[in-house]
Amino acid sequence: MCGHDPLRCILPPGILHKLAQHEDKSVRTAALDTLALDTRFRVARAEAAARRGGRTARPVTFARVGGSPQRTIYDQKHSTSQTPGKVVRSEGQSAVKDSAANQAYDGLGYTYDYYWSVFMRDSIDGQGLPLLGCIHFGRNYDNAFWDNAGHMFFGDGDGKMLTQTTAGIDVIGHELTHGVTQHEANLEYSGQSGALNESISDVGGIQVKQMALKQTAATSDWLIGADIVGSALKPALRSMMNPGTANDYDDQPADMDGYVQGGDVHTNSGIPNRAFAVTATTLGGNSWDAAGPIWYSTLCDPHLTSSAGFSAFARLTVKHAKQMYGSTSTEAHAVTTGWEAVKVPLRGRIATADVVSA
Amino acid sequence: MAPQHARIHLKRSGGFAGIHTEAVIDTAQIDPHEAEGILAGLDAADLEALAHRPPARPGPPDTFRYALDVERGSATHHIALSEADVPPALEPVITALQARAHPVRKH
Repeated sequence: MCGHDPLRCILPPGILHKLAQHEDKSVRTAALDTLALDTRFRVARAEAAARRGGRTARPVTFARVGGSPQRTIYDQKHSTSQTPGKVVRSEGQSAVKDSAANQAYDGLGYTYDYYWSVFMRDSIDGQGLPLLGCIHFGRNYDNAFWDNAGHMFFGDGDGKMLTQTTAGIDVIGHELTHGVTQHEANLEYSGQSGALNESISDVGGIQVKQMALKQTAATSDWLIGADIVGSALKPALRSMMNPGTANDYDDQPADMDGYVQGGDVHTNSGIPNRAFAVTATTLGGNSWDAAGPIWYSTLCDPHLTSSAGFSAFARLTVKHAKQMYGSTSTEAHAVTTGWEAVKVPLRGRIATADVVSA
Repeated sequence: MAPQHARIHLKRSGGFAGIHTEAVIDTAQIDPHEAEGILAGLDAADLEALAHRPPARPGPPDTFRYALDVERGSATHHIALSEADVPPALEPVITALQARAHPVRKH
């Protein structure tokens, strides 16, 4: 029972928002008080999540063998609460009626399979972290995000800018790769390290999609978000091969000549995105044959600091390519070609832009 | 007694898409019932305190950030919020604005 005030019990935020506009002032006040409590929980959770991350945060488990995901899909029923909603599909269960639930389940599986089959990484944290997908988040919510606390949230879109975000295999790969980054270099989400964080997620996301759809570097369209854009943003959100050409609002630079000082992390990420696409297509075959492992081993290198800029990351990719394939190898040359194509310096002093944090 | 109408401008950034959107509402020019809900939200939120808070730290990757400008009578408040920091009183305000939002170029 809820006591004397019916609003003090657990009500979905959607109902509380309606009650917050109720004609009776006492009902409005009670609803706003209850929503304030919910918000304080959410802020506390976000702050706690922001403090997590990095290599030292990795737990050690002993019983798990790995090789299979542990997925659970929750229906948020258009609430913006970040507490998982009703379970609609669990690991091993057959498909359900809701296409969003099945797309989320499959996308989480494709992402797990990519990280396991290429790197033998057992889920996001390398320790079998369960993959929890929360679908139908909010109303007309134009977004999908990883909350740094083990959950991926999917909006249904407004139909004009974005559509059902679960349909994007690259979107799911992108978001879960934010989780991988959180557990490895934990790149700060601003300036060049933030753009690298974004780019590494696009690099992961496109490979997950290419592997799921059996696309090579040559047959991939290198587009991000092509399956979730509405009419206002067609044909895609970003082009890794040709940054700045994906839609009418795409402002990504294709090389350092167009670097935007103080730019959004989703803007300057076009530069390292193109370096990867050029590297992978220069090598041919599958992106995960060599280019993907070089980028991944760089992400996992303890020398990659959380505030690393483009040049520091680029130099480490060259170092890893040489260590993995030989200093005069085709792979090392392709990586150099990739960074040269976007004019990120690999020698000499680190450029000013490399240490600017915003 | 606060003036009975407000002009509100919202700019949203961040999100997986990385697309910025903008919207403007003048509560004198929209459905009175909707305007009442928006004004109630503004009344319930402490705009003065929100406008003077230190800048919010970035939230988790791909979450939204909001820049809200509220003009009401002679008072103007500029409020910057991350998605997780939006006070409940302002959620209906942002929802109403976002329903009218359109994408814009960033630079």
